[in-house]
Order: sequence, then C-alpha cells, then structure tokens
Amino acid sequence: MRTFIIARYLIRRLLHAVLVLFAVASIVFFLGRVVGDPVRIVLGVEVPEERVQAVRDQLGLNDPLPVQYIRFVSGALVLDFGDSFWQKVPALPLVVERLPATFALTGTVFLMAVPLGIVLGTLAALRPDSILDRGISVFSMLGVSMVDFWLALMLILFFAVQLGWFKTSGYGGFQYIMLPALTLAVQPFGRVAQITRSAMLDQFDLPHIGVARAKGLRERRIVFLHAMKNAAVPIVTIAGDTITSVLNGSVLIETIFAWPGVGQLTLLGLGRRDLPLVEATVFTIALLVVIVNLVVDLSYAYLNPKIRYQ
Amino acid sequence: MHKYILVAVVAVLMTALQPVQAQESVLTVAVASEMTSLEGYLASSEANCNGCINVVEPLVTRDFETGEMVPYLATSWEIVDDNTLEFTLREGVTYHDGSDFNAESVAAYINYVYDPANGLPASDSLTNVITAEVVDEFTVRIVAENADPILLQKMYTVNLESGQLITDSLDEYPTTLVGTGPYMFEEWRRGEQISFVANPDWWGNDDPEAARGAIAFDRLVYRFIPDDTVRAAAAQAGEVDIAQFVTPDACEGAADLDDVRCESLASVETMFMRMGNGGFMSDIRVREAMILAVDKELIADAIMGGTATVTGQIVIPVTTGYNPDLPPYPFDPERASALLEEAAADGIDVGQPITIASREGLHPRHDEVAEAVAAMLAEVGFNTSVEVLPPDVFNPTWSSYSDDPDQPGNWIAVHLHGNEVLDLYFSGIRYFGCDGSSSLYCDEEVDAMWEAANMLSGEERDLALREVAAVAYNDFGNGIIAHLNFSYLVSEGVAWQPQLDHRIQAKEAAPAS
Repeated sequence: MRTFIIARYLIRRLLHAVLVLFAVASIVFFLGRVVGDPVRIVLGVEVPEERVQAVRDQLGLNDPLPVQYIRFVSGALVLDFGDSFWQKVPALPLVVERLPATFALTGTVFLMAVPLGIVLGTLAALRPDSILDRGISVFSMLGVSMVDFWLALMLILFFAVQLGWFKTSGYGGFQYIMLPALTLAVQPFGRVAQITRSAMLDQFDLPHIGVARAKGLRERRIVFLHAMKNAAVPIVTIAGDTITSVLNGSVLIETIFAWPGVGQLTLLGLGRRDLPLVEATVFTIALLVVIVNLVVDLSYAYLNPKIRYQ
Repeated sequence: MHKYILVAVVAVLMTALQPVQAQESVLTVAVASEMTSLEGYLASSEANCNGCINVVEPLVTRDFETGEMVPYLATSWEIVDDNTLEFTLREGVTYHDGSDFNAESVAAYINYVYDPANGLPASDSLTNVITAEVVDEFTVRIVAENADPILLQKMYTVNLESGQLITDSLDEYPTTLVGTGPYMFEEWRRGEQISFVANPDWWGNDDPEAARGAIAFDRLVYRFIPDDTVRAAAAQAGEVDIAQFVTPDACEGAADLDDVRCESLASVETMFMRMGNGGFMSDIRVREAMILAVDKELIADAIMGGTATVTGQIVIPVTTGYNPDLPPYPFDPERASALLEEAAADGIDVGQPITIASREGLHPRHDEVAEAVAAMLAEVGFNTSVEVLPPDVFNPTWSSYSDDPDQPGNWIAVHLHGNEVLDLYFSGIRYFGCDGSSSLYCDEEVDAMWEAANMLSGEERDLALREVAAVAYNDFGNGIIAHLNFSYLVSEGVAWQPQLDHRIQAKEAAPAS
C-alpha cells in the first residue's frame, strides 16, 4: 500500500516537474525575444543593417513569433535547443560539458557548509546562551550577511597572492576549488547552523526528550537519535536549498574564479543574447532544481513517518 | 647483507643514468574574454580569437617600426589594377593537417570564407568582397569587388587556414584551427582555456628573419579570466606569465613588485564622443562647445591613470591620412559657455536633455569617463544625464540612432573605435560619412572628398586623406578625446613587449635570459 502511495506521488510529482520545466522554458523563450536584439550583440555596432537582416533571416529571427515558438517546442521535446548563436555548435552539449565543474563545486560547497553547520548548530543548541552559542551565532550571522564577491577578492588576495596556498582562478583539483567553494559555502553554512540550532532547541523543549533524559539515556543518543531525527526535516530542507542555491546562484563567483560551470556559461550567454544557449542553461538548471526538490520531498517520509504523500 | 648493498648501488646507478627529462616550457597568458568560435577570420584581433594568431598567418604583414607592408606567406606581390593584387607564395610551407600551402589552398579558403553568401561576416571587416584566382601553383590573384587602393593593407587582416579544411571538413571550421603558423591548435576547453603546441615543421624555423620571430616555448596556454582584479592577481601569484588588459591600478601596483612589470602601449583604439551634425547638433557652435567643454587631459591622466594619450584624430599617428597638423582639441570651458549662449540667443534649444551613454565592460573606468564628460558638459550649460548600458541594450540603441536620419542628436555615446587597417578612409566613411554604418555626421562635400581620396594610393592618398581629416576636424563632427593604451602585467621571467596591434604572438616572446 505504502509503495503504491509513493509511486502515485512520484508520478504526480514527475508530471508536475514536466509542467514546471515547460513553463520555465516558455517564459525564457518569450522574454528572450522581447528584450534586446541578439543579432546586434553578435555582430557589434559597426556592421551595416543589411548584414544584420541577413543574419536575422539565417537564424530564423525574422519568422513570426508563433512559428519560432513551435520550432522551439518541437526541438525542446527532443532536447534540441538549436545551435548557440555565439559558439555555433549545438547549445545543450555546451551546457552538459559544463556540468562536471558545476557538480564538483556544488558538492564541495555542500560538504563544507552542511556538516559543519549541523555540528556547530547542534553544539550551540546544547549550550544555549553560552559563550560557544553566542560565538557560533555571531559567526553564522556573519556568514549569512557576507557580500560574496568582496569575500572572493579578499580570499584571492590573501590565500593565493600573499600566501600562495591556493590558485587565484581556473579549473582543477584541490588548489583550484578551495577558494570558490569557500566563498560559496559561507552563506549556506550560516543558514544551516542557524536552522539547526533553532530546530534542535525546539526538540530539546519537547517532553519525550525530558523523558529520555529522566530514563538516564546517554546525551549523545538523545541528541543524535531522538532530537536530530525529528529536527531533520527543516535541516534537510535547508541542505537541499544549499544545493539549489549554488546551482542557481554561483553565476558571479564562477565568473570571478574563471570556474567553467553552468553559471558562468549562463552569464556569457545572457551577455551575448545567445537565446538557444540561455534556453538550454535555464532548462538544465531548472531540471536539476526539480530533481533536488523531489529528493528532498521524498526524504521527508523517511525522516518523519507522520508525513504522508497525499 | 652484500646482496642489499649491491641492489642499492644498482638502484642509485640506474637513477643517475636515466636520461634527464627536459622540462616543457610553457607560456601562460591570462586574457580578458573568450573567443566566440575558432573561425580563422577572427584571428586578426586578439580579443576575438585568443592566441589564434599563433596558428594562422597572413600573406603580408606590417612592420610597425616603418609602417610598411612586408612579405610573409607571400614573398612578393604586384598591383595589377585598382581591384587586383597578384601574390607569389612562399614555397615549402605546409599546413598543420599536412596539406601543402599553395595557390589552390589559398583560393579554396578565401573563396569560401570571404563570400557573403556563405553567411560569414569576414568580408564586413574588409568593407569589400574579395575572391581568389589561381594563376599557377604558387601564384594567386586577390580580386576585390570594388576598387580598393588599400587592398594590400587589408590583406594584413586576412589570415589563412587550410583549404583542405574547407573542402573536406567544413563542419569543423568553427571548432578547429588549421594554419601554417609556429603553434598548432591543441585543445579549447570552453570557459577555461585554449592551448597550442609548437610546430616543429614551421617554415619560420629555417628563416626566423622572414618569419619575424622564433619558437621559444613548447606550449602556449591562454586562460580566460574575465575579472580584471583576478587576472592581475594571477600574474602577481606567478600563475600566468602575461596578464592582458590590466587596470591602471594594477600597473601602478606592479612598481612595488619584484616578479612582475607593467608593459603599456598605445593601441589603435580611440576614445571619442559620437556626436554628428543632426538634430540640435546641426549648429556648429553647439558641436564646438561640446568638444571644448571636455577636459581631455584630465580624463587621460586622472581617470585613465596616464594610460591614454590625448588626441584630436580618430586614428593613430602611423595611419595613412593621419594629419600631424591637427592638435588635440583644447579645453576651453569659457569659450564653450559663450558659444552655447550665442546659440541659445539664436533660438537653439541648448537646454534639451542629453544622454551621455557608455557600454558596460568597454574598458577599465569607462563609467567614470562617462560621468566626467557629463559633468563637464553640464558645467558649461548642457543638460546632461548618464547611462551605462549592458551591450544588449547599448548596441541596438547605438544602431537605432545611426539608422535614423532624423535623429535628435541628444544620445551621445562615449565609445571606442579601432582602425587596424591603419588607413583613415576606413574610419572616415564609418564616422564622418553620410552612409557610414555608425555615422551621425553627414556632409555631401566631405563625402565627395572621402571618395576622391579613396581612389588614390601612396603619398597622394595620404595627402588627400589628411585634407579631409582637417575639414572634418574643423567641422567638429565627433568629439575625439584620446588614444587608449593597453596595459599588461608581465612576468620578469619572460622577455616580451606588446606591439601596436596588441596581438600576443609567442614568436615575439622568449624566456628572459
């Protein structure tokens, strides 16, 4: 019965995901065509108007909007977003070849921010109003309020130029990924620590925790088995949000660190009004966000059996 | 025990006798932007195709010391008529795909890439359409659609790729690069870097003088680092040997560092206010007031940190048609105010709103330049505001004004123009011609002078262009401000100096001795 309920829920969510992706792609399609002139961006300002018109014809941009939209939808159904205006090769493979860099950065940020945020948030909740709690609160607040591009430049100048520990920019292993990941991890770390502290404090006030303590259970067992599992739903939500925010919001940091991820590609595509490329990047990011949200939703049932998939 | 000693001795000997692996020498360059594709016609500009000029080569090149065109892949040439040049090609040259460099391969390449029917904008940059005709195995004729006395100068921007690439693998044209140059294309990792390896069979290895350089590095890596600060930081941290287009701040900071130096050189780029003579700018007093109101020295020295040279002309001094008798426009706010008052008294609406526009990312501190220009114009009585626009808004706005014959003359962009052909006609018709693609200026007499000058060649052409330059200068058609310098941070471990064309050619660099 439970398997059937989950399967029904999954199918419903998948249909919902398809609708979301279709809506996102359509919005990007129409917005892209009403704002700015992609051909003038590609050709620059010193090219005669006849040449601009010829390129518009070549790219199909002089066709009526409904014709362009039908062409777009029929292509998108088979994951064909057309050739990038900018790089003159199919747009989606350009996005797919950037995914390893995006996944590496997202994974590193997740590993830096979430475990540390959970541990420090829990420690703060265990000793409310202590010096440790106040220190962690200030530190997490600082993280949430940090301006990321300023932090990025400061980290580069100190750790890469002065100390020479890490690379200023570029794509590669540990030395390359540390500074962009650290920059992106600071804010989610602060959020995870704050949410964890608050969720754990709520749990510690509940009667079953008092009963567990009265029964003489070990504190570690109380924290990790009884309190943590019940507090996990908001923590998992914010952990999922960490992933989606890095997928969505690493555009600036990827550009500063010359990290060749999907975010950097999105910015380059937008700057050049490369409509097929922008459509492919937005579609890919939306797809990833939908998948992460689905996984987070499904995890709720495991973490809290009271949650049912209606 | 003896056995272990024997093994240890053998191991030590084997290590000592192993051939020493020569360390690969790599020149790493940090560039500000990434190329759009690897189509060879883009290679003439470093910003359009990073490092590509190390792979593809032209028939003729320019000696920047003398300004003369000199042989390169062509050993000589003959001017057949106003439309035609005949080139004798260098023998014994091969492309990186192993095919022979000859008239047939040159014709196959040019006749495809420079034919507008094939959808490539290569001919736009020449403002003419060229075709190639095979005369014999090593003789080729380049024929221009319209009479073109500066066809030879334009050929400096025509870099050749393998004809075999066009005939056999056309699909690969945007994603690979097959030339005859000192370095061969290795890999383009999008968003990250492009790399090249030394070509052991380069014709220049046997004739470094004709090739104007030599191979000194095994490999070249051009890394795409768009952020100005990070690009400079990469040079300071020793991660790159050359950081392209750094800010005046980074250059000033380099004076305190031991490992890097700043190299700064004038470029072909000229900063100017696009004014024209339409709308309320049709009154010459308004145009003159606008130019006199701007303190060009202040912009060049204080805002650009000395990385710009004040000028009164849209081309640099080595250009054909550059007129040495035309000084930078003076800074005279009192006269500017008086001229405006005079125009206002005659009924000209000098108080109408004017927008001073600039394009994001144009050059370091471009926004401060626009702010300063607007403030200076306001000081003498103009009603100015500033717009710093992203390219996708700026470019169509720019074009909409030049496309509209009744434009009101109140959207004034502070922009850059670069003339790499080094012939004033190229810039003149574009910004001081009635049909110029970017022109807001129109005067039929001036147009006739441009066209008459364009029919001439040599010294006659130079003199005729100088004359038109003087007429346009005295008519205050555009507010010329300064020639821009481009600056680089260069590792002390590398001997390299920028050239006027600001191409980073590895054959001109070597490890510092």
